[in-house]
Amino acid sequence: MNNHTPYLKVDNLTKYYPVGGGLFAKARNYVRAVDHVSFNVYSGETVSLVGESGSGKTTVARLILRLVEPTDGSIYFDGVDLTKLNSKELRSIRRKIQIIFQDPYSSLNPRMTVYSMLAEVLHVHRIVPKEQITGHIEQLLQLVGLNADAMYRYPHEFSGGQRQRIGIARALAVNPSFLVADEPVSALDVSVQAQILNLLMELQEKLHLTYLIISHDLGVVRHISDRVLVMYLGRIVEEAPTETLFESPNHPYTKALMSAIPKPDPSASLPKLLARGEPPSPVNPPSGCSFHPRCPYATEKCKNESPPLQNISDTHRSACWVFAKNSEDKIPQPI
Amino acid sequence: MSDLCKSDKALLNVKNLKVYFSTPTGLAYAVDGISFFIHPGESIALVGESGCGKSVTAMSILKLLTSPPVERIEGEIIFHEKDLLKLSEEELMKIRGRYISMVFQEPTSSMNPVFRVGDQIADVLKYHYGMSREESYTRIEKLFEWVGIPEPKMRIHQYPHEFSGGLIQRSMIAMALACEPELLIADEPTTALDVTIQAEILALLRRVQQERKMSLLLISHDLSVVAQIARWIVVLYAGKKVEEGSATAIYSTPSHPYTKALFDSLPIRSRGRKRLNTIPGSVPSATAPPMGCRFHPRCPKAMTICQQKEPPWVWLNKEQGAACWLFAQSEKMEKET
Repeated sequence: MNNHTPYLKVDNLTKYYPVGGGLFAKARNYVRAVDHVSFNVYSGETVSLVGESGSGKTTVARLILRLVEPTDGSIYFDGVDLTKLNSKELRSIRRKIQIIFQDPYSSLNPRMTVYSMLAEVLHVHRIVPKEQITGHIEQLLQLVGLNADAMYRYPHEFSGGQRQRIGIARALAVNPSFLVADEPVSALDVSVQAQILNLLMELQEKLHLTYLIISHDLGVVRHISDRVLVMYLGRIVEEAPTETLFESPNHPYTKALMSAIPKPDPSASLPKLLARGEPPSPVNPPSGCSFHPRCPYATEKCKNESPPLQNISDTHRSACWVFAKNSEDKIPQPI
Repeated sequence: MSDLCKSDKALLNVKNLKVYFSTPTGLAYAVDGISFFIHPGESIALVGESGCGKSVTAMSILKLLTSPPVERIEGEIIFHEKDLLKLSEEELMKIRGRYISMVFQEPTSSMNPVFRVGDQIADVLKYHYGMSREESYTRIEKLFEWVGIPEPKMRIHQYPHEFSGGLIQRSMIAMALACEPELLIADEPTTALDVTIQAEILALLRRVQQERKMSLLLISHDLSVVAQIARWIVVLYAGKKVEEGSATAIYSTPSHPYTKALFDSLPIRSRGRKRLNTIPGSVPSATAPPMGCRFHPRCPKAMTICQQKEPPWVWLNKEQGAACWLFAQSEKMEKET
């Protein structure tokens, strides 16, 4: 891990969505989509954010781009607090941070050709003079592995993998240094998924990009990332370098996730079920550790007090009263 | 040849199934001559990427496809000596849900949102067994317990939106099992679910299949999911069967270049940030499939003959067969008639 200053520093980021209120009525409750999340991303690395549906991982991605406004907390990008920027300043920052969306079928405008889509980006951000736009688009398409003649076609004329390439080309058009990819391959077939993952890794090397990947697919995450953050119900429960996380997970939720991954091997036994039941509602999260109702190791303390994210080693953090122990801490008695 | 390769004892025998759709760009050959069979108590899987015809095959077994867009269905689907494709709608109604039932991918959209979950299952029991509400509620309670739905008494009277994704899939499975069918078709039963819930549903499917000695036809794109349940695998590509065999054979020694490439592109098999093996290009259009072998434009081992003639079916051994010219040249060549 790099020890210099983080390229992206997310500090106590929080997003609550009101529920139950009306136009004039006060909200009755809040969905704690993202609840005091802090993490760093260093220049040139690939960090993945994993978690099940409703864990808040996509909201984190959208908050970083300021596609949604945070309730609280700050996001420092290259030293600048993004949450304090006005729309004009934000536009110049967005040239540096770009996003690739999950569904290549709905994230491209069906009435625009690839040319007009990319030319618009180049024009709005004044990347190249007008007369060079066509040449620049050709280069971009080549970069993502498409032919130049793709530029005069509409999204419906492309396959899912090709559309995702167009989405990547659109993100790269403004020469970003930081790319947020929200489930970049989950809508794609296995054979095409591999093509896109290879492309993302090639581009990172060629263009020195930093990635934040949002994914629920642990196989993909293990393959592509340097570090992994595990989210559960709006909070980060564990953070570790990829191999550490997969080889020796600390948090029971991470263990449950790992144990549930099916293996492509018919002689392997069925995954052991370490977590029972389903994630609770983020409107009414359980008291204490929000994983305790599903956790086989839960103690009395877990029911009452929310565990902080503690260092296990320099690079490994986990939020668990039972497993992530500082040496000074008393060992909680299991019940 | 082992029993698994013989069709005479099969519960369901799909013979040369062809399903063509009419589209604005011409006839789409969604399923183009697929044959396979399922023995009583056997679990088999149709595997392939989007557009390979796996779901269309499953839907045509219960004749759930509507015309239009279906232009033509050919071939035979033999179940208990009857061709399902030739049955009238009334005769099919007696089979659907009773002898063959189906679990769909999107559990939340497969239940009717305005009726209570218990009542929707009770309708099935009333139709096939003429059961009264009270009788069926006792039975549904047992079913819910069996598929692991907590507090079954309360759940029966709830609406689908009050169930989570995992629970609604369990209740769909309960509905499908209500009349103890001989064959359960599960079309991507866990694709919409989170990985921890997926593991529970897979364990449930495997348990009920073994406890009831029921036949299971699993449709999936996910080779890891398939490995958990199916003992026999049929690999489809662009409307054709390219390989089939026992799960152990297919997973240890995939023989068709497409099956091999599919396994190689799984990220879970590699460690670290190595380049993944990919299959160049993309799945061909169903309206204009390539001549000869449909995989030849993407195949690393393609020969001239692959571009001209469709490859014959070859049984490589007792447990594995493929449609590929690579094997057709060997002297053991055995064509499927």
